[in-house]
Parts: sequence; C-alpha cells; structure tokens
Amino acid sequence: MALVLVIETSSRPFGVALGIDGNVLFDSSEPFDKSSLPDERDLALLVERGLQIIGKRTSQITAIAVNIGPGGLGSVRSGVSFANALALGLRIPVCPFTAFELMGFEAWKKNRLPVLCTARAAKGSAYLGLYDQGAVTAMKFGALEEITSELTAGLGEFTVAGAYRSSVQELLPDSKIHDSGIRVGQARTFMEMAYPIAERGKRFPHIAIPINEQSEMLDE
Amino acid sequence: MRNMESLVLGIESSCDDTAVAVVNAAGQVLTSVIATQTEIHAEYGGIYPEFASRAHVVAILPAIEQALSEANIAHGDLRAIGVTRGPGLIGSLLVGLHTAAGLGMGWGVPVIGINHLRGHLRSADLEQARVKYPAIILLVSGGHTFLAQMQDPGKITLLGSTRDDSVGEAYDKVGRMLGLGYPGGPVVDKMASQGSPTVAFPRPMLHDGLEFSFSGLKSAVSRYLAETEAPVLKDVAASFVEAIMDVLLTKCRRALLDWRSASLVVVGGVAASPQLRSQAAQLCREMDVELCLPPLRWSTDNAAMIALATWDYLHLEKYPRPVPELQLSISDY
Repeated sequence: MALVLVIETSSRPFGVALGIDGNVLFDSSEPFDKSSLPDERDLALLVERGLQIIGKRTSQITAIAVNIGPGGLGSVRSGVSFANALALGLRIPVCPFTAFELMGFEAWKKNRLPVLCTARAAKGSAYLGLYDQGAVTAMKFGALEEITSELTAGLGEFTVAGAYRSSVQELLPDSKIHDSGIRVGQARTFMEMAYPIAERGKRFPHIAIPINEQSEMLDE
Repeated sequence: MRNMESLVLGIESSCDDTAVAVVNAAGQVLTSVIATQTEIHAEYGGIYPEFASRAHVVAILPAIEQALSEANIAHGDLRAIGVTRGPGLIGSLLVGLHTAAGLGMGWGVPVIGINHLRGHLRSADLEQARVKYPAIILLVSGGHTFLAQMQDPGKITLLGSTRDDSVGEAYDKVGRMLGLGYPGGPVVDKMASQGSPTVAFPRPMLHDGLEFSFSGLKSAVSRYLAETEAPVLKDVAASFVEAIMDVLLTKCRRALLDWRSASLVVVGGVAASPQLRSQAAQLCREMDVELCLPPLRWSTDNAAMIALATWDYLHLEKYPRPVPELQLSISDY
C-alpha cells in the first residue's frame, strides 16, 4: 500500500490530500468537520485530521509530495518545512513539485495546448513558466510584460493559468489565449501527478527547497 | 537510548540564527548548535528578513541532526520539542514552527510553542541555578528591551518596556553611522572603551518610570555626526554608550528600590556588553542584591533557553500549539 500525502500551501487556505495507491481519500478543500482545527495554519492538525478521517496512522505514510512554489513566500516555506521535517521524522522520501508543474498539469488537460503558468512575486515582479506535454520547459522571473513576451514568442495559441491570467490576455490582445480558470493547483490534482513518482523523491540530507528569484531552475 | 523521556529538544528560529539544543530538566545542556547568519546580513547593516527565512530552511534539519548526534540521543529520548512561536520575524518563525510540527508528528513527540521572551528570562539558569528569587530581570537585545519582576520562574510581571527601538537596534544603527558594520554592539562597546564621553547626548525618559525609549538618542547621534566637522568617533561612541548605560542602570536601580528583590538578572545580547556587566555589578553591590549574568553564549538567541523554558511549560501543563504569535508579551505563556 502506498499512502501518499500531498501538501499544497502556495496560497491560503492550505491544501492537504491523502491518497492510497493514487486514489484520493481525503482532500482538505472538500467539506469535512473542521471543529478540531482552530488555526488554518496548523498543518500538523490538518494532516492528523485527514488521517483520522481515513482511519490511518502517521507512520503509515509512505511518501510526501510538496509544492515548492513559486507562491506566497511564508506559506510555501511553511509547507516545505513541514514536509521536509515529517519526511525526516518518518524516514520517507519528499518529492518537490513546482507550482507551475501543478497548474500546468491541470490546465494542459483542458485543451492540450502549451500552458503559460503565472505567479505573483514581490515588488510587482512575476514568475512565469511554460508547461507543455508533461513538463515545465522554461521558467522566468522578472517584469511581467517583458517575460511574457519572451516566453510566448512563437506560440500561436496557448492556455494561461495562475494569478496573471487577465493581465496576460491584456498584454497580448492579438494572441489566441484560453483562460484555464485555474488560479492555483488543487491538492486532488496534485495527488494524480505526484502518486506515480512520489516514492522516488529526495531523502535527507537532500531536502525540498522553495523557489525564489535566485533559484537555479530559473532561466536567465 | 538514554533515560526514557528525560530530555527536551529546543528549536529557536525567531530571527537570524538557526539554533537547536538538547536540555534536561535540571537545565544541563547536552548540546547547543547554532547556525549563524551574520555573514548573510552583514552587507545590509542589519537583518534582511527574507534572506533570514531562506537560510533557516536550509540550515534547520542539518542542525537538528547534528544536535541529536552530538548529544548521542535518539528521538525516543525526547519528552517534548519546544519551539519559539513568537515574538519574532514571521518568515523565520514559520520555518522553525513547521519543522518542529513535522518532526513531532513523525516522531510521535509532543510539540509546544514557546514564548521567546520566557526563554530569555530562563537563560540565566542554564547549566546552573543562578537566579535568586524574587528577581528583577533586565532583558536587553536586538529585538527587545524591558524590565520584569519574577517571583518564581512561572510568575512574571512586566514593569516597563521600550516604546520604540530596542537597545540592540540603537547599537546596530549607531554602529552603522560610525562605519563599524554589523552587529553593532561589540564594535561600538570596543570603540567606546577607547574614547571619552565628551558629547552630552540625551537620556530619553530617564525620569519617567520604568519605560524606555531609544529612538531620540539614536537620532541625536545622527544629528551630531551630520552637524559636526571631523567628529571624534571614539568619543561619540563613548558618549552614546554612557547615555545608554545611564538609562538602563537608572531604571534598574528604580526597579530594585520599588520591588523587594534578591537578585538582578541581565539577559539578552546586550548583556554581553562589558560596560553593562561592570556597571550592573557596581549597582548590585550598592543595592546589596546578587547579580545574575548568564554565560555569554546564553546571552544571545539560543535554543537551550527555549528548551529550559519548555520544561517550565511541561511542569505547569501549558501546551500552546506551535503556530506563530507575533504579539506575545512577557506575561503570556
């Protein structure tokens, strides 16, 4: 049995899902009794509640997948810190996914076009990622207008996802752009993409690291 | 594995150092690991909160592994994990809190959110019981400045705190004005010891109860430097430090007169100041109370003090959740 925990904290409220062999049994974005959760930032209580609902113990979790952003600085770091520590505590792997893999995976299924994934950054800057056929092929940080034109050059038709969906459509009025309607990835979708590979994730001393404007995975 | 449930793991990440320690119920420190970020922040002349938080993510689990290894213990030896929940920088606190929560969940060890200020107050009792109660506590650090009265480790009354800058902030800012770099405390004190207090800087709120204010003093130093041709920097430093000491010691004397006390406890990073240590000793001799100074390594932020405070919480059966609380006062658990 593979019991995978996915943690999606790129925005509020925090998202957590638990699934066995890829089937989602608990998804915190769906209605459940939250009376024992006085603080929405308390990830431990949220995961404990999920485990209680599906009748499993912490020690039965076999892998963790976590969203490393880009997203809210403090909230992404909260999820990543919790995931790394729980993985170390249980001696299980932690598998990092970018927010763009997550929203791209979800948006690509809608019309199978390249997906321009967008996220806010500090001081008016933006993160953009181009997702196509199962992978993020480019990722940039900078002024929205500048990096939008760089990443969409040569794209005749594409889908847009994330925080800057409207802005991108305004910036490129002559392009054929489909609005995915997706602001952030969902924990349930995260489980679908993470389950097949989560157990091949990092093991301490290797850990998940949140994305920031200095991350090596960003293109120049 | 050592004695079952005999130890507490302390985690402190409220500011710019990632600290982890293992402490027993008697205050003995089995290990204390501090991953410092001084180099990261030095070029900014102060702490850059975003970089502090990033550095905590990278440093915290290796520091925990190192602490357990140095103490030669396993998680089964832990009675609890105590982690700073505030006050502090939110981005830094979140890393420590969620790390503690994840580890506690994975290990099956309870996690308690600790008030950082209570940790500082307990730092004087690390390794040996030094504090004689009732005590007056002066906490002077980069983030805090206040006087409190402690009837015992669990009963604390705030007497007065700063209305603006902390003493440590004033030191850091004046250090930057004098071109001495960061952190300002040790370098300003050192330069001050070579100069004479020739400049009559103000002593804010000197005659007003037990509250503090340091922003006016800092501004006065800035104005003096801007308006003076070729200022003698060592004399400026000496004058600044004299003004600081005058305020701190006057307030301590007032508190000792107002509250029957067996000791004066000086904690926090500024407690490392040689000027403060010697003048506090002189005051205590005059007032016939004992001076309690923690060893310098426990004066600045560390996790051993958080672990010792965790034992107080366990004894008093206080179990705050490990979620951030930025506005904690000294009287809060």
